[in-house]
Amino acid sequence: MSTRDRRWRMLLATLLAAVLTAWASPAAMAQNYVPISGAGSTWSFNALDQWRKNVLQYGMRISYSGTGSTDGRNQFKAGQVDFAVSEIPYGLMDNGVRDSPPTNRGFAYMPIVAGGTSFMYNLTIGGKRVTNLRLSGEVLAKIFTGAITNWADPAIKADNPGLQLPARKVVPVVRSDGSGTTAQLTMWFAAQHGGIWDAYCRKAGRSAPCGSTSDFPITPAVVGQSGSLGVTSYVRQQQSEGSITYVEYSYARNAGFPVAKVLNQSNYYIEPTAQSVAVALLQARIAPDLTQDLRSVYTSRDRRAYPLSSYSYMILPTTESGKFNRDKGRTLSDFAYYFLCEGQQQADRLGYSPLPINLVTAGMQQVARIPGSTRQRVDISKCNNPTFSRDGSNTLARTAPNPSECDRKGATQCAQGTGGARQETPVGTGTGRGTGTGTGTASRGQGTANQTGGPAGNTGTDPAAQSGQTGDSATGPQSQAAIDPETGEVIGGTEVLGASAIPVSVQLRDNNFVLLSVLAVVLLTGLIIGPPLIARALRRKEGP
Amino acid sequence: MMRPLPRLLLALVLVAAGPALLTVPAQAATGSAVTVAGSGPFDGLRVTVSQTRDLINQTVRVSWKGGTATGPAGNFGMNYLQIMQCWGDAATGPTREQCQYGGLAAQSAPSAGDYVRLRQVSYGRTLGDGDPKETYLPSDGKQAVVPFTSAGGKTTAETGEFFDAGTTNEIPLAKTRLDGTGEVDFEVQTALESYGLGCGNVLGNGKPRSCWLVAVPRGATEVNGRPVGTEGMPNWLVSSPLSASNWQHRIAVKLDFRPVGSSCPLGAAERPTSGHEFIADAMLRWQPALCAGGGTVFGFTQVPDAIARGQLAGAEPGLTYVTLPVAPDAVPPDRRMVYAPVALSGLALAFVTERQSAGEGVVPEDVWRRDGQLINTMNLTPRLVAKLLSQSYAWSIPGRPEHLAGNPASLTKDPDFLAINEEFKTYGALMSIVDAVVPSGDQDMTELLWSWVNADREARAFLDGEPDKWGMKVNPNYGKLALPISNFPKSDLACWQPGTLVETCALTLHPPANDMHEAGRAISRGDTLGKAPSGLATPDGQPELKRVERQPQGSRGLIAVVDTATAARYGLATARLRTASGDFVAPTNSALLAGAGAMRPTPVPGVQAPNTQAKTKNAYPLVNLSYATTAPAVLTTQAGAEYADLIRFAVGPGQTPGVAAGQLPDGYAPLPAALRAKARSAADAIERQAGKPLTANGADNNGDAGTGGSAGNLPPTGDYSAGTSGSSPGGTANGVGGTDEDLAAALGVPHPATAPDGSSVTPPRASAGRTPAMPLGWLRYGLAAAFVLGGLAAGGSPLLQRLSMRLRR
Repeated sequence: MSTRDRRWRMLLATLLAAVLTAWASPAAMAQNYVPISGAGSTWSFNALDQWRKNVLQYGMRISYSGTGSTDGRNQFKAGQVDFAVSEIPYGLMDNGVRDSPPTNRGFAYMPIVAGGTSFMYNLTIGGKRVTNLRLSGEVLAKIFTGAITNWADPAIKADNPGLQLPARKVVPVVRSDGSGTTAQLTMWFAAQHGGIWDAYCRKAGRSAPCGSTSDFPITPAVVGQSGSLGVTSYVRQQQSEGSITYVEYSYARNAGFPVAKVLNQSNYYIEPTAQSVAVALLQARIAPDLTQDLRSVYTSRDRRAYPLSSYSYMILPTTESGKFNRDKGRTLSDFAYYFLCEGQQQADRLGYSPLPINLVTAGMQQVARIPGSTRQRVDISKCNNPTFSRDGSNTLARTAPNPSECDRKGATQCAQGTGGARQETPVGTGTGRGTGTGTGTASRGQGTANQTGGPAGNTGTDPAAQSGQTGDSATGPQSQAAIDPETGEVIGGTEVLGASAIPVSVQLRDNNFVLLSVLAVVLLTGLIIGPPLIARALRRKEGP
Repeated sequence: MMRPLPRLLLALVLVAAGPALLTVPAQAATGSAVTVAGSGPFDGLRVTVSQTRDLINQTVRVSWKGGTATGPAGNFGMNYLQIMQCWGDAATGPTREQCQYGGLAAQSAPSAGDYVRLRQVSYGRTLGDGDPKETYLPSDGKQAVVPFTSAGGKTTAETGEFFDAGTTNEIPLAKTRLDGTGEVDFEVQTALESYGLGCGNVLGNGKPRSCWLVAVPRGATEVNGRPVGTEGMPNWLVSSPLSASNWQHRIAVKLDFRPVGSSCPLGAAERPTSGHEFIADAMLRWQPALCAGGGTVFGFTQVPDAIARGQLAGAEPGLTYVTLPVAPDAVPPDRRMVYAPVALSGLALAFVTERQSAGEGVVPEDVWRRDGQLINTMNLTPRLVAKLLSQSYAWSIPGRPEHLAGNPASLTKDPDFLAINEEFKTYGALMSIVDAVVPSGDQDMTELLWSWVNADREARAFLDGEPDKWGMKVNPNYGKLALPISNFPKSDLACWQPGTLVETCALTLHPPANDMHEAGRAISRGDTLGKAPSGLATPDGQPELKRVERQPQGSRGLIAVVDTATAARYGLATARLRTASGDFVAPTNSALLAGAGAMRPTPVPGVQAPNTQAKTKNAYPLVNLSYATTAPAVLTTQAGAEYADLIRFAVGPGQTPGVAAGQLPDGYAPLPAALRAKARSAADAIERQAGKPLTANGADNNGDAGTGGSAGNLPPTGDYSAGTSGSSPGGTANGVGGTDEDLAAALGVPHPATAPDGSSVTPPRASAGRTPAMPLGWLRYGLAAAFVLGGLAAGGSPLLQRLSMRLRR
């Protein structure tokens, strides 16, 4: 009898046995879980919703509505939910008002999942989606405060030497509802780019210094949408080209959209992957109540760190009250145990980053304070968390790869896609000496691609460095001419058409016919007058 | 015919607020329907509960006849039923203290009397002398409230500890139609959903606790004996159903439960699986059966197909569920993919439509008397679907903008629709179906839906801007929509009265749902998910948004794009779609099976893809066959064995339709034997190949590649290319009739995320920006030639000149 058959029979037998015991023996009936409910953060909704579904098989019934962090905190305060999820704690000053903590029920903060607040954008060059945009903090602050209004802005260009960005209007899309994501973003603005942020706040009629706020000050410079899904849906529409918003990484990934790589303190542009978030959060300072101080995360010197990394929190009851009793505490403590350990395994797949061991341990101590908790003593070694290692270091952070050289601030730019859009965007090197016309740039770009490959010679693609598993070994990193691995063509051939400067008027919708017609005329003109002009220029330089 | 089969919904996922107002009958699957007659003033009333034995957490249909129509028109003033679940071990039935009621105290819509949703039975001066039969009386300035006693023995006057708006299943207002009949779907709860009731918990005698369904009929007389609307009385009922005089006419039906089953042990390491939403309901059912008796605990993570394919090429492939396979050139050289078909379902346009004629005085009595009854049949053509998905009905954009002028207001005003849906001519009069609630994420099946639309000449012409024969034009924001795409765009971002406190935007008013389950649940509750300005300002002076009120039961009219399992779960009817052969076919089990039989080969041998243009009789065009996929070479042997077991279970016991743990939920068609055999041999291949790296030449080192049908080597060219050569003569950009095109499109390039971190397959993600073939034609090549020439000339001429100069010297 094969092992397979044996296993099969065993399965059947155990199934049968399970059914029989369920029918026959009352002793087999463990104490059931009672349903509990929570509300709050949309930033962490995608993780919570999945955990909620997975614990159905353990007999738990959890309901969670992603109504926004502010609403979650309010509902918890009013005793309407058993737990809340929020990116920020109670007690912060927001727009001159203090968000006071609940007075009639005890509570504690417990980190539940980490992630990167990402900048999802919708941008094309010549009809092809840009997937490798890079932005520095200052540029982001200026974008979301209306100080930079055009994608062709030199400041954006400085971040993206390999892209010829269109002269298209920048449309910053922000959350119109009370949001922890907004609080995270504005906390970063306030800490890192206070001047730009305060100036905007004043313009929006708020008092400065503005600090962090859950309610983004809406001015005509920004578009407001409700909920993480709301801003995501807005940005992804074809009509929203030129827009950019901030959401947890998973939203961009699920929408199949790229996110901006953000410049860190070590001058690398980093994507908010599970690993880059884990690395950055090594610098998080955790207060005794487990709330986070992210200022050192923003300035992490590790070149692998994503600056806008943070944790999301569950607000747990530590006292019985109104509708919260020890029975519910039992469910909540087991649910918490599940997602602090096993649930973290899913974090990466969901677009988040798993919690490190110190926070899981600290979180467990909070779980023990829940009335009716089943988790008074927890053997942390049994906790199946992907970041744990024997020596206590964070596995994920330890194994995080270094960024590619093309991600460094400078003359080169990686072609690699990001977020949910992994396809490459062809890059050229900077065209510095702008000759003015489209022709000049196009042909010059083609020429320089071969000559000025930069130290690593990876102007184009860098398959090997990015992921150890690329298909065709033939196109290794040895050649310095940027060869597209699928087409086998030199990037800068016809691809330059797509990637380089085609002045697009802000109003003009992308229309290939118009674009190509214009281009045709420009090219033909260039063909006729280009050679003599260049020849003359060269001759002049050589001298008589 | 879509005869609503037993709709026994294992509503395992209990999300937020509200009673389960579901819509398609849960017929007595077990033949345990019970009918009970009313008493006293309600002696003509007959209440039937569709299933009363072997219950789990599911919905049952409660229907009645011989009632008096709820009124006055459109309101819950009088003559309605109040339905709740109670526990009570006595044979005489439950006491009112044992009933789960009062959880919706804060609910305000639809509006009804002040106390009808409460447990409070003292009414101040509203009802003068009050209820003479009442034993709970106000004292010490406190109102009289009927306390709740839990099955565990705790008595409390506070609601919220045992149930609240988020968990209760009570239906405080159930409408009796003009013909004296009525029906609602009621979610019965086990101890897991309501521990205050403890139904299904095994008692000392070894038997599971039975519970009760209680309907309190309400007439037009108040508890003080006086008819509503008479002098000194309110014009509507105000008292609680738990008031003694109301409670005495209760109708109680005993509910026998299955014992609440044991669950998986917490703390075991889960074996991860992930993939598209189409498998979610089946996984929820299989998980507790797979873990029983010490079996593997499987986790499931819902991700879009494309992300799942990316994962298969990544470091940890796990087991993922996809519709379309990984393109052969995107498979890393260190592995082979193995595909096992495990579940057959479909993508549906699900709907809930209740008859809404022009009303009394406008249409004859025998017509308006049927108002509020469900319509369960709807025919849709690709063009109608295109209209619904392109924001083209005039009312789909707030403020009836200029660019939609001349278009019908809504689906039921569209002669194109009415021509094939006779019944809606009369009963769609007051409906306003302007679009479909769609999921926000990317899906392969969405792409196939668009292929089905794109292949239809009329639909494509409509999208290209050609008016239909009644003059309706596509919303110009969708101009020449390039198809297929894997999501549902909401391209019209128009706002009405921008800059004011009542600024209303199309995207906010008709947003996409998070996923198909949210979409299906929403429309079953009459919810569009939309938000609209409340008219008030936020502290920042911005318009404050609030949820659009739900459409009340009896006047719902909504459509959603969901999988057939979700449609079944929420009791939604599904539309009949026009097939390539011109028939209208609904996603019944037989139509799904016919569709599966007509599937087409893909570039991956042994893996088939849905054929949206199948001409097979009765074949549903949008079938989904979920492939459990993995790369055994990069798995551990244990993982391989466990995944193999999961697959064997899924295509074995997991294909038995039913409501119990381990069984196949409604909405999936049991797999035909051939596919099961395929899955089993794939499972064998996974177990055999797991943990064994491929040898250098790419062959499986144990030499059994290919034996598993869907497993094994992937030849460079599959039968697919042979079968589909000669596609689309002339390459019409429209793809009219291009059945080959749509599959090629679906399988070939446009799967960006198939590419593992940028290894290969870099398709134009922005398919919308693809150059249309027609207007430029030759010009393209001319351009390319000019470009190359230009480049050569630019680079070459100075050289030539210098050369010539040198020669001259």
